[in-house]
Amino acid sequence: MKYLEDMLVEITVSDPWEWGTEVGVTPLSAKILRWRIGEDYRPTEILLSLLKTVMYKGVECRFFVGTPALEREHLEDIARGLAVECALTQIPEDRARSSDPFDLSWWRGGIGLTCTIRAKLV
Amino acid sequence: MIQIKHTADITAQTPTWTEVVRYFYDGLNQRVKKELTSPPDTIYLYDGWQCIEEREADGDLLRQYVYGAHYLDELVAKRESGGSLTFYLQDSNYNVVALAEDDGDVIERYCYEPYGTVTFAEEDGDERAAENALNKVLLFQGQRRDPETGLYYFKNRYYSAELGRFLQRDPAEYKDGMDLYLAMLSNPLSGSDELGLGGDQPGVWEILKQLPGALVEEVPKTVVGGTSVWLQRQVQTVRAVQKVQDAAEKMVPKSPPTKLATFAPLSEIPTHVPAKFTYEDVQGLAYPATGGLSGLLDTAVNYGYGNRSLNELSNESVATGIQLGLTSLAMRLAKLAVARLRPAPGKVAGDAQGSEVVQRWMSKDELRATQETGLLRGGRQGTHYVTDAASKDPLRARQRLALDRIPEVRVKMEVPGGKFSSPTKVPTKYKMPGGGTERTATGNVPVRIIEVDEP
Repeated sequence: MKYLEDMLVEITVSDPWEWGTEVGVTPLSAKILRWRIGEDYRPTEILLSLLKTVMYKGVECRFFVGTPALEREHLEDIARGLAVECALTQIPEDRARSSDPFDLSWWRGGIGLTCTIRAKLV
Repeated sequence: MIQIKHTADITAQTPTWTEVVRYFYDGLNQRVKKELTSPPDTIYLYDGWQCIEEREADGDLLRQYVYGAHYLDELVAKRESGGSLTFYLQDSNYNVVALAEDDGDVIERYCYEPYGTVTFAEEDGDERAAENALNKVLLFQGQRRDPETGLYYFKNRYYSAELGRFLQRDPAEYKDGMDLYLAMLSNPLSGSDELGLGGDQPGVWEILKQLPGALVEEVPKTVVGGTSVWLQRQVQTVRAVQKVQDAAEKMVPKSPPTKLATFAPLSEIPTHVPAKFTYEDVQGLAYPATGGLSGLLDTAVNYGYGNRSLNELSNESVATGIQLGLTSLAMRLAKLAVARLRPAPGKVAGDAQGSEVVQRWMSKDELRATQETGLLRGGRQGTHYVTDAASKDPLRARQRLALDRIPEVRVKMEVPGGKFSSPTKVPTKYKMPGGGTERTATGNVPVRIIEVDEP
């Protein structure tokens, strides 16, 4: 049984506005690789991998850690086919492949995206 | 078929290989035969994934196994072809810790390192040489160990206790993480992996015990392993619906007392749920992944063993599974009832007539696009975020709105009324504390810029 794992999703980036100028406004396809459960037994973070790597501000972007962008948003709604507002933090590949990719204690600024994520219909 | 060979000197130019053993598998990945260079060969007969008999190649019985009802690898006894019985004693993680005769006397003991390296001992605890052990096979987590290789057969793949890793990639792939060779999620003391398809999530058992209702106390070890993700989903549903139910209780008179939290069957859905449901409601809500009431059956099967057919399950586990499914259904119906009572969260707030003033911190490029098009964010697709009152200080705004960068200009705009959602709190993100509120809208939003504040 799978829940969010391996789910294909579509990402529509809202902010930063410049992302649309540099990368384009077409929604991006990604796959949820992992998710982490919180104290209230809801998914609190997801690890996403873009199906196609993109370049933004000279950074190769493929892996992101996603969290709800607003308190009313819940990541499990992705599995219910709903659109979820998410905040994405770009992480390098070695972090994504580490035992705890959700650990962002090392993050001191970089690429962050505000976006809408919804399950991709295939 | 897998052949395992051994050489005394692998550095030799032409090493001499000696065949040790051959394994044969059926289409279900079950090991059905083991051929040793010195007979007898062994044929394995299964009930589901439980090996119940071993026979020689000519069909003569070697031994039979008896299992308990609560777990796939819950060993009870072994009966040799001569009739002698031995009993397996297992600890809470189903490690075989001792072997007893039919009169109850312990005849051998086993000690394990965390990842399963075994030490054999006499009944009084003195160490016993491995070659003299009475039971060299069923040991760590009740799994089958091959004495000729020292590897454990975890049904779908082999495990090395010395390495603490599986030797093949996880057939379930990234279900448990990025490390495809990881065993028991690096938690072998309390984790188990009866099928070799990824360890159970640590703490699931503890989560279940925290749930209300006596049913949880009866959930057997079967729930971990292959079905743990499903269970987590159930737990999340229960938790989520309980929250909705709490909200509902504030909205409707509390009579009679709700029984949802104690796993009420469908017939006992509280009468205060103020909605009528159609067959389609039930069909869609019962179990969205498989659809409709057939999900209940699926639930029942999952509650037993994820890969066993229904007729192999005990009546008790089927009944409990159906009750779980019905409980899930009841809770989903309650959630639907509540959803019908109140407006969807985050949707249009306020008067749809007239206009209102909102603020947004943005970049200069975005401001330019907004001015040129007369549309918020230059008419780009995606969600528009605004706030009723943004701090004048960009650093403070970055903290309150949890922005990943320092914004450039604060713009006060007039937008059509009723376009934006009611304010919702911004959580901590990008290492910013958040705590401010934001409102959202989608689609083209015409704006009239009132004021631009560039710090």
